[in-house]
Amino acid sequence: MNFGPLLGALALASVLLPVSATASSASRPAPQTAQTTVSAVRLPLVVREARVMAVPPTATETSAGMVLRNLGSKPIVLTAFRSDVAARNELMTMHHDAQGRMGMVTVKSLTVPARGELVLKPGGDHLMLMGLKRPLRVGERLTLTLVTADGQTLTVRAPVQKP
Amino acid sequence: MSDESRSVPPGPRPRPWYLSAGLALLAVALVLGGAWVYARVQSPFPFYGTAYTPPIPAPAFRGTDQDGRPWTFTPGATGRATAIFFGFTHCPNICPLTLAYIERVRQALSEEERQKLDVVLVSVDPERDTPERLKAYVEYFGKAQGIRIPEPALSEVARSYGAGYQKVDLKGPQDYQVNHTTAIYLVDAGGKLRVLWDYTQLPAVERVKRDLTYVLENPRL
Repeated sequence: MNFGPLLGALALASVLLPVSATASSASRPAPQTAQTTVSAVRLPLVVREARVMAVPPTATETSAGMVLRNLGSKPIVLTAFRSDVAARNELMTMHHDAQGRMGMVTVKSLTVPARGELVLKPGGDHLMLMGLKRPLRVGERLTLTLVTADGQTLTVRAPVQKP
Repeated sequence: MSDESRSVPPGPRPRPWYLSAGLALLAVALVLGGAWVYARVQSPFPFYGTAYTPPIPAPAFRGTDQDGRPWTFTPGATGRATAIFFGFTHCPNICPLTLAYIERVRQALSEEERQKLDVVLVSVDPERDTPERLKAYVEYFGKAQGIRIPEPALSEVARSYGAGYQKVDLKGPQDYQVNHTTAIYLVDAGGKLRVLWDYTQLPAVERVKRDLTYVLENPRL
């Protein structure tokens, strides 16, 4: 088989595609409105459905979820989050092993794609609050501070809710 | 038109197009119908979950309940259906969701149906899951029984249901996670395994309820 034409096409595509992608993102107006949507930060993120899972008083860890929408043209990389109520706050994802067992693994970062969404939820990417310093009450609002790779922060108020 | 018909060479009359189309449709209908009949014979009820075809006897097991009392599950002897899943109380994600969604399905049943269903959480973390912890957990997210089975019996029970678990992330004797499979197994009043759902299917409360109602009404005795 002659792969020459195929390789040529691929090479051409690899050159042209990034160019066209850059062109299309540059042609769009910068998302100025985003800055009014989120208070106090320059991050063009809109948060919805933020919640912390209510757990019985005996539990020492819980998870938090939310939907993060990136209005900007650059991906936003989250590398950590902070909370006052937990000793350890970690970014997590869920994975299945070869035997179908499901479990959490810590990840170094989670990315909100440019003009896209990152869904944080119990069965997928999520925030873990471990070593809870006190029992959480259903209905109380916790402050979670998301931290990006370049050191910017976004403060999110998330109610404690039963699933 | 008549000129054209004369130009056709002599031979058997060509089959009219509508007959060919009809035969083709008939063939397709027969194949699809056959597949449908086969599927119905295999599992007469179109379960939303994964059906056991044929239903198989559920394994019996015993342990300690959330009140610290000896507890025995003898399939077919309770007169009720039993939904069983494997989890643990340090589980911050899957298990609360599973319990909460099963509770939603339970609430969607009629009072009479609800009386005919038991929900059982079997702990895959007998080291840390004391009856007290299990009680707090199962009563917080819904209404279930929390059963503790010591090792090595636990691994036998899990294997007999097709469930798996593994301790991971060991940071200390009391600090670890347990990875586990996420199915909910439904045993009917006759003691047969009828259907399982993955926890991701549970948010479709109405569909799970339909499976459940069918199994409650049609136990295999």
